[in-house]
Amino acid sequence: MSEMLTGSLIRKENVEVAQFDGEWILLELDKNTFTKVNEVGGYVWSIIPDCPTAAHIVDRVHAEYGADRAVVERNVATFINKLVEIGLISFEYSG
Amino acid sequence: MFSLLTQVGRQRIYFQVDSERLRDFIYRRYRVLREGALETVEADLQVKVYDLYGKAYNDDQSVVIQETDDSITFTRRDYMLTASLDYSQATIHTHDDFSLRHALLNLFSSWLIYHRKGLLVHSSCIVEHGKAWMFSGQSGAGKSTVAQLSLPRPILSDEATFVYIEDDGQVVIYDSPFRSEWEKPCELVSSPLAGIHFLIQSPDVYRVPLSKGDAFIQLLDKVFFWKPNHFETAKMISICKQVMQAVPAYHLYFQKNDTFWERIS
Repeated sequence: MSEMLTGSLIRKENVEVAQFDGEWILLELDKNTFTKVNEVGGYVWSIIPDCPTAAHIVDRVHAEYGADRAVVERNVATFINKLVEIGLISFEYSG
Repeated sequence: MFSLLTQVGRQRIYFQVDSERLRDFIYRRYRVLREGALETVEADLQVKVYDLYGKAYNDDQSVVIQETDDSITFTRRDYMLTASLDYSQATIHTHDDFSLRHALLNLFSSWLIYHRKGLLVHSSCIVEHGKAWMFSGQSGAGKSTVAQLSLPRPILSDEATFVYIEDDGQVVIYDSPFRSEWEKPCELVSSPLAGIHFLIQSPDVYRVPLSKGDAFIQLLDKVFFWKPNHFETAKMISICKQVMQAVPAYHLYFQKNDTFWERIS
């Protein structure tokens, strides 16, 4: 998580979002594919523009949902790694 | 040229066609309000259709899309459709009835999405007790079979359902001229949408409610849509969201008899 904490998160462009109750669907217009995520996953996706690093996201999720910080850190890292793997977000490192 | 003013849902389409065969095609499938050239055309779409184009359709379904500053052209081996960017004016060169049906479906679907008015969906649609039920699936899923088994209930579509979003947000199904077996317009003009069934053939008959998200994903895959650009795709997605927010959806497991209606009504 340490390297991830410092890199800036960039969401992929041309991704439409559909939200239904606790379900979020991220649709990649370039590839005609979709990714279904749960409510917390959708929340994380929505705050990426305001939270430039994973550390910021952990702070916000911890504050919003009140879960144990170590658990939040682990789950956010897993989720971000998955989104990086499928190309929905990327990291930008300065310096 | 033959000139015909027709009504499709809330829209008026003014056709100018260059052969008797094309004139007959329009009369068979559309509600013709009047025939003869109009001095002032009060129509949402104006379409000129020319016969004797290209070669018969084969299994190559690919549609080539070219966009310029003021028009968009869809070309397949059996038709060429050129439209203004708002799809209100179009010219179609067509090979036969099959190609004209597809070209008009393409044009009207594009018009609906551009104006955020609705969708055309791979589905049949049957009216029961004043409410419209959609039965959706790809080719071979049983859409037409469901329609046949549902007679004498009114059939608003057997192939491409015309889903319309009214100004107040209500989702209404209008009689679709894009039919495969039932050519004549339905005796009903429209009916409010009660729900959508995604068809699965099965030895047992039952239905399972779908979450909004799963239903939305299923619906996206059933919309007649040729993606001209991201902006239109985003509009199409937005309309699908509206539809799924408004009505429930189910997987309908069915066998080829009409007992599935006992699970619905």
